[in-house]
Amino acid sequence: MSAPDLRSQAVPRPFLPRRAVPVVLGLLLLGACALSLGMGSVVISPSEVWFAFLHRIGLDIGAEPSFRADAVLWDIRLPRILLGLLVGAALAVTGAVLQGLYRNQLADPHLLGIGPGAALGGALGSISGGVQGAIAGATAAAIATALITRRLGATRSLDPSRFILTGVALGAALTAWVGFIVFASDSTKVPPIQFWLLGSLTGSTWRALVTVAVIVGVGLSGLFFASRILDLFALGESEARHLGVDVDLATATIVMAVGAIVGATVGAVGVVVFVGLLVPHIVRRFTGPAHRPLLVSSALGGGLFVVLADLLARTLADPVDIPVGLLTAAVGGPFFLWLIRKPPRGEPT
Amino acid sequence: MTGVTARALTYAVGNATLVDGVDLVVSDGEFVAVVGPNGAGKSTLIGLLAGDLRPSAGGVELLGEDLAGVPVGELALRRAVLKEQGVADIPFDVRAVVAMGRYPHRLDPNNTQLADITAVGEALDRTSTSHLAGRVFATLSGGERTRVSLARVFAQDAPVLLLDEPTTALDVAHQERVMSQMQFEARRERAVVAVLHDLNAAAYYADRVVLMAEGSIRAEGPPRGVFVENILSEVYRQRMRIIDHPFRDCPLILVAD
Repeated sequence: MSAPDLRSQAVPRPFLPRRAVPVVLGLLLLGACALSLGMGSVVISPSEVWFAFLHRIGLDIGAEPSFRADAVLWDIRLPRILLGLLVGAALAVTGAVLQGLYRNQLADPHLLGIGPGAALGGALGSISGGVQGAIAGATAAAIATALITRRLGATRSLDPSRFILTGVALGAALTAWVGFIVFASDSTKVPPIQFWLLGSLTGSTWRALVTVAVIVGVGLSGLFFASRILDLFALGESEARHLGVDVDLATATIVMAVGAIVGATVGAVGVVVFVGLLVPHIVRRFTGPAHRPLLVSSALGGGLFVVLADLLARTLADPVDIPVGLLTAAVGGPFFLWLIRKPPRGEPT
Repeated sequence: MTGVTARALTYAVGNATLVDGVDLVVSDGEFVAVVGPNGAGKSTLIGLLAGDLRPSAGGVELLGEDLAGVPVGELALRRAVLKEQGVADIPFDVRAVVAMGRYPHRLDPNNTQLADITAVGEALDRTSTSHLAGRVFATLSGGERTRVSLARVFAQDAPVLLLDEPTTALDVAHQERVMSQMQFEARRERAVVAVLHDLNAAAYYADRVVLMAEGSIRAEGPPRGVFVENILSEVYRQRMRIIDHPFRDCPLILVAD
């Protein structure tokens, strides 16, 4: 008999059953949303939040909510929380998808230059079109950038890290252009540079939420549909082709969906860094590598992460709103360092 | 019925012609070994037959139909491919990797879940990898990875098998087992094309040997016809001796001093 093989234990299995992962994340997300609704510069008690909700859906039970609480809940907090949730879900899922597509743990929509590209389009769009213009511009620019990164990074040597290096280089140049546009244009129309670099959910509106929800909703359902194809990409591109995947078509479609999703979020809330990197990695430990469960739980986990980060962003230094990306970066930066120091998958630790 | 046919197949990159006017017919039920020195164009030939590379001239027919006209999803029901060097750090467990070989059959209306499970189980069995089913692919040794990839190819259950060095990193016992499994595939009317470096394995198991040198076929035929001292010595630039195998009905190829 051979000696006991320690390598098989290199990937520790967490105690949580795989099927329970989305349930737990969903409950945590609901809890985080409820908590976030009540907290802020105006504190609203859980019962008041609950009764306000019941009154809104037409059930006249319990105390009538105060006008102020009602306005804060419906016009400010709820759209902000939902937008945060949507952005988190969008970034986490696209991160997971890009990591699968490029077979690289370091893939992330912003590191691949898609975020900076979207920011450039968003800044240009906001000059004439306000928030809706920013979303439209960012979406178009992000799709273009995602395709360009794919094209520039593609080599015959099949080295997936080329995509990351290409994206980082492209992103740096694009970010500089965002800066030029911001400083050269009317500051009442174009959001400031820290919005594009770090993101902010301040001033989220239902209108922006609906636009983002439509684009992200369509894009995410397409990506969930492609989850089995993403599994096959783990074997390598040529193996995926041997198994009947039209690799070029699938890649182009996936990359464009990712671009649209990321662009819509950047247009609405700026670049929120590290969500796409951090969340899928933690989620994958619990769900395993198969993309269907991974994408579902990443969506929930990403939503949870951004909702909590934004809760901190607006309560830590109240009444000042901290850019939400500052908080995600504060957690994500050290995590990134840990990740690149970690030995590659499959090697003994 | 012919499994795979190459006609005047040529592949050139820049000034280099990697495959030069190769004509090859591999029928159902035939196990053809492609041998030759490094850089002879064997892997390029497999790539062309698989449809990975677009030929500069000539063409390939799979089951009597021009490969270029077959949609990629349908292609996967016709041929399975084992690449020489696949991705090593696949995060899925072995059973999931082998089950991916069943992906093409989603297009087959007669396919059932039971057929999928049976095919995966059989493929694991035939490559002696059942005991690895729960292991993460990335943690396997080189030889184990080769066997699991071969299991994935068997699970795909295609009438044409194109295998680039299916015995890489295998110990002698596993090499014997894999060679007889490929022979078994041919016996059940599959067309099997395998690039091999072990000439003696090719001599014993293959129905026909294709010896390639500098992009062209240098000799082709049954092992006894191709494994001839002067041809091998010339192609490999190495003096070779060939004797009768003491107990197997095939030639035994030896390196001469």
